[in-house]
Amino acid sequence: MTEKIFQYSEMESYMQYYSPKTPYGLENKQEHKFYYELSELEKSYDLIESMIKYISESPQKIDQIEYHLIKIPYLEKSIESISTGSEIFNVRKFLINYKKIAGIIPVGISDLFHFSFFSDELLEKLSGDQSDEEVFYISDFYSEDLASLRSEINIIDKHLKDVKNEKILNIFEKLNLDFRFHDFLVINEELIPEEADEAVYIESYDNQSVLVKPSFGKQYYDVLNSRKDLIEKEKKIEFKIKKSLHDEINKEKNKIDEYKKNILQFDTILAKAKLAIKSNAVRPEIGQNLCINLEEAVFVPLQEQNLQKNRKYTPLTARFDQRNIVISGSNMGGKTILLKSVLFCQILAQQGFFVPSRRFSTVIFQEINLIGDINQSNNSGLSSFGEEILNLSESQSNEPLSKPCGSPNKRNTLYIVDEFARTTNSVEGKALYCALLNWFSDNGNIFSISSTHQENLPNMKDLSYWVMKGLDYGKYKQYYHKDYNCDLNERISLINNFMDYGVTPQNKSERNRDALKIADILGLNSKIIKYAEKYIKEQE
Amino acid sequence: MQNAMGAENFEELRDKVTFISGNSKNSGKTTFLNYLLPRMRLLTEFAFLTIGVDGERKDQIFGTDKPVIETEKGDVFLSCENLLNKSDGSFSILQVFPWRTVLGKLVLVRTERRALIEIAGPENNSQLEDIIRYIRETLEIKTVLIDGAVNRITQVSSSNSAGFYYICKITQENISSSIDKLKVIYSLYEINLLKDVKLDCETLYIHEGAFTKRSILEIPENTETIVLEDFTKFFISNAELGQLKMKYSIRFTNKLFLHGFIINLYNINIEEFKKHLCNKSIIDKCIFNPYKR
Repeated sequence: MTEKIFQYSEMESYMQYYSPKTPYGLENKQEHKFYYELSELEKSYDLIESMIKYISESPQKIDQIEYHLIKIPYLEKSIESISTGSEIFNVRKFLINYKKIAGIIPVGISDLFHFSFFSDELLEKLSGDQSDEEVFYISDFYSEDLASLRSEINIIDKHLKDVKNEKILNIFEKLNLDFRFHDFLVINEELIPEEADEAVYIESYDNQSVLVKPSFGKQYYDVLNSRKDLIEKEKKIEFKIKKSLHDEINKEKNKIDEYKKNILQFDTILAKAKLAIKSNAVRPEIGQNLCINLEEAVFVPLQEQNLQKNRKYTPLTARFDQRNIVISGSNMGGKTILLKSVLFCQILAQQGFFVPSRRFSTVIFQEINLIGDINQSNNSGLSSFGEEILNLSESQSNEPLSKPCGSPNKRNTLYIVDEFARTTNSVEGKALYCALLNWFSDNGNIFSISSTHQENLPNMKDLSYWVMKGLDYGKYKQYYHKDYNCDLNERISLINNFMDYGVTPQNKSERNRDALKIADILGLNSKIIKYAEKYIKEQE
Repeated sequence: MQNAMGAENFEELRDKVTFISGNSKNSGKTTFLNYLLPRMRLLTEFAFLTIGVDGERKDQIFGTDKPVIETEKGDVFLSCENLLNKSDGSFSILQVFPWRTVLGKLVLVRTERRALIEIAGPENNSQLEDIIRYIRETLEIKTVLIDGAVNRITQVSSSNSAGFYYICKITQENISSSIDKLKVIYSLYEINLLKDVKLDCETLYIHEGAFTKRSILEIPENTETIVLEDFTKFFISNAELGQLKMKYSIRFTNKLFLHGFIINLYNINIEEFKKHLCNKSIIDKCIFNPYKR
């Protein structure tokens, strides 16, 4: 379900601005972690508040911190192989950058994130004699035996190089074949020198040419073989050193695990604080009563789309004090956007983010369900109606995701219902929807917001009807005249300009009849519209 | 020494990302890389890597096991944990990349003692992009050589600092198809960048992904200009490309510099090949039998 509610709320689009810097933060971002404990959420909000203050006071320090956060490597849970030293390199790099961050952040922030560094001794051992913080090398510093072996290898290498150079020079003088800058040469067969046999290897290349490589003689290969023995010994000593460094790392495993937790928390809180600043987001208020209050809540994905298309965006303000909210209103009037906005804000709040709004108060939900014809195409073989029913059945049999806050038996569940049963026949669709509302009404732990085009729905306990304010057709008519020839995009912009996307409690005597007006604006044949108007009049 | 080695011929690779691509697997890409390395050492600091963990065990120039690479002190290259363990060299670790290959993690190292090595590289374009960015921006090593297929170029080509060599093994059997391929590549190389020309959006057709023979049928009627990401997306013959260029203007959003065609001729002499190729501009871009004396 998490994937579905993320998709529906277009969270991915907003999350592109949430940018943790470390591999731990990025991994955490992919997990879409929800909080179900009030204390956890309040702690997250407290830390974001402190971080926002720190960012505003010390923006340059933040740049420095981020420079080091980017350099933090991912440390495996356990070091599988110590043969190359790549994990030792990573631990050293982690500690260096962690220590730098610990040195930058002030005491107040450091205390909040438990950001202290106690591993100077380990870092010193991992660094050996190296001053370059970006490089790890098992240097001669670690072992006299290693130093002496390497010195022997270097002497052999120099000897091999001298032998090689001498041979190549001899070949050049004797055979006029220049291997100084080539590992091999391709020459015409007729150019093979008479005396070539001992000095070079010759292989066939094609019908006219041969491939020639220098031969360095037995003495060269004897020395080369003695080098192999030394290399083996060198590898054994290096392994021993790596093993001892690995043991030192393991001794501090608990501390390193603690550093990892701290860095994850610091990185994600910093990214959340930066996102909050960017989106003018506020700290959510988490209460105990099942109600949701939004003041100028911004559904950022739509706000950005509208900005691109030069269309206005109206933030959402509504106080949903009753447990079950039914939203009706015009086509294109913003019902679905309202549902998306509420879900968007709720997900952010429960993931420990601030919410882009003037105020957002809500409650912790242990479960969030989405019912409706959400995917335009589905691959399950079910019809839209079938999928809605399946989702509903599944939601009713779900186990709570975690223990709810407060009462241990209480399991708050949020239902977002987008035009339930709209694709089946109107009589049965309405009956099913009423039954669903009745089930919501009877279940005291459910908070639901549903959109519908159904009319004359019954009153129920803890249920209130709301309506989207809709099209200001009077104003629209003053502006628009039939000769005004505009394309579809302009027509949509017109609807957008004259549509009031606000929501208000419904006066049950009022009825929404915007569908025909919208159809008219979108250019439907006037004969059809007139017939439809006449039909409605007759029915009433 | 510099003149004898011909290092100055590769001056244009300085500060560039250069792909060593080929007309087939085992076309001699690594052999050419081995040829380049000592010359590049005389010119500038550089890093080298390959694409993927190589399954390419044979080198077609020799028909023998794929050549190992001789690395010298100070070289910077990418390999993976198991291959480095097998080597007789000594290396400083500069970076460990998080992606795991069948032979362990990818590790960027600097050679401390000369060695015979096998290089390795990332499996996908996004990892390649990250690695190149790390080498060029964090380590500030601007010159990068990549032994790898040309279809990996896209990610870095947008930087306008990427180019390629195209290595060809030409035999009597493949001479016609190879020449056709050279002509296609050269013809595509000559195509201009989108930003270099003024365009009428109404008649612009942006084709995403591979452009094949079938794609020709999908071009809308009023099209005057076809836009593609880069030349690696073209999979049509030289004749088809010729017809297409006569009818439409073609533009790329990314362009790669063609450093040259490395032509290894087998049982064909250079004059005979030139006669077949019959295109002076392409011949000027060819380096014939670089290993032949």
